[in-house]
Amino acid sequence: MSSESRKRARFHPYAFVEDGLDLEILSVVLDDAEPIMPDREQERVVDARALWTSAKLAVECRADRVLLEKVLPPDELRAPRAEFVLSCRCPRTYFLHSKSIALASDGLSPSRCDIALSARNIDKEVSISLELVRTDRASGGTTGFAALRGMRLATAARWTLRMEPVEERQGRYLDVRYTSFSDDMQIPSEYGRCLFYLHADPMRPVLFLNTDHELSHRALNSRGARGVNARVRDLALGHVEAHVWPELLMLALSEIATLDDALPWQSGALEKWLPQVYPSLDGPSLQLEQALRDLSDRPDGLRQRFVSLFRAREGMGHRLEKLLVEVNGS
Amino acid sequence: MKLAKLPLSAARGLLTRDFLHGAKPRYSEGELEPHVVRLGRDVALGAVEEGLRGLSTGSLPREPKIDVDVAKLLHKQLPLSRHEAADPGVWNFVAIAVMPELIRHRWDTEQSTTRTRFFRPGTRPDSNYYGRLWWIAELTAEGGSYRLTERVFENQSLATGLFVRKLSHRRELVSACVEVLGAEGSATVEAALRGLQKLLSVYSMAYLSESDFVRLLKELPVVRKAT
Repeated sequence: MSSESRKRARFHPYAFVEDGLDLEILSVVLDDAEPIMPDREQERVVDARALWTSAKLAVECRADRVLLEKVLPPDELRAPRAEFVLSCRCPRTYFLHSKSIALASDGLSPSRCDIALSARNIDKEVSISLELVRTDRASGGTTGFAALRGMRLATAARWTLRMEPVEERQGRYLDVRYTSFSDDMQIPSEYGRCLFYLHADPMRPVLFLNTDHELSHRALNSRGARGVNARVRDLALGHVEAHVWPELLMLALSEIATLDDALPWQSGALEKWLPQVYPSLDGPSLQLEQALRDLSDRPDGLRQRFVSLFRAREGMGHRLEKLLVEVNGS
Repeated sequence: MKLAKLPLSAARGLLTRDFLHGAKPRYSEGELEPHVVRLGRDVALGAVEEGLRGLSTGSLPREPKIDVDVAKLLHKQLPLSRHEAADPGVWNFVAIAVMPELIRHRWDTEQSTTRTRFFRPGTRPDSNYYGRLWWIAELTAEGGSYRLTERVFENQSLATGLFVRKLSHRRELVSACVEVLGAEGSATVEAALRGLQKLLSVYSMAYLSESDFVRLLKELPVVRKAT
């Protein structure tokens, strides 16, 4: 299982329901403009990208009977010693604003409230979360239930108020973007008919892949393990890798040599590939030291070592053979 | 000089070995000009420059005690909104263009973290020196009073441990930690903060009051043992 798809499971020592509460943002008013109604198509994201100074959010929270029966001792169901806590957080400004909201008298009807936010306190986006929290110590038999003031009983799925577009960054080490090379002004004209173009910005390298060639584009995006498209994809991506990685590694090393410091993509790339370039050296620091020495003493030789490594990985002959077998059937 | 921004890409290029170690003490306005991005409003830097220079000349090198004075001075003299202060470019500018000398004075420039103290965003001990201190003042000041800011800095282990964690986002929690852990050593502080963080997976950090946080801290075995 990849780290991206792994989910950390937390187990509470008492009854707790994650994402079991209902939290709805009914409307958002930016300054004195017309209210924005959240788009149902957008998964719990409110687009607030206009220029504004203050925002007022109308919010509705609710817990259903099944949830309350799960998290509260039976003798408390008539008068729950719990309330909602709504929190707005902006990690970039360390902003945390919370508001307690009483449960409706029957415990089940929705509770509504307004929250005011100032643009001075937040940056890029705010997450809005809801918890159901115990307000008092439980009195009777509480085995299996939270019993102390302040304990969390349930949460709702979060909402996000987005002030700026999310940065398009897809690759772990490299931002990969599909674009039409004939239309995209970022692509130098001499690359118009190429399959790929590497924008070698040390801060944020971007690999552009050309969508002008429709059949190749479809093949590159194919997910299958068999068939002509899969073979073409493997061949093409091997070819791209063989050209791009040596450039990225040389770029990363040059940056470190000049600045004594590495960005995450740079250290990640070097830690991934230097062990294969210097298998006899033990540990990343020795390998990096040697690579920096080689960069200074014989940069062409170092580039050639990277090129050879990726040419060998590319396995052009083998992949071409497999493609021909697919095409010719033998 | 007016406050401006130095984007990260430009800042990284300016942080050469010579600049970090002081062989090139400063960049001229002409050298900085191509990289600088205007702030959008005028924030004068005269009082900040003067104040920081005074702190630099009036203290011994590597003296941690100046941190609290730098924090208070920056926060008073740079009335930024949190939105403005969240832009790391602002702090890159202060560190590289306004007063790089104080960072070299406060920190050993042979340390591996020298570079990050000029540009890394955040409130870690190796973050941008000025940005970190401004944010600590912002998170602890109340109504013009810096009493809590001063008390946090009286225990460097506590200041470090708190501001690398989200615990610091609630002033009431910071205040409770200062009250209970202010006089404790680094091992107790670190164990207590870890213990409190664990507890806050079952307690609501947003809901609890300062007295609740004090109670939780005092009930931690490591704190009971220490006191």
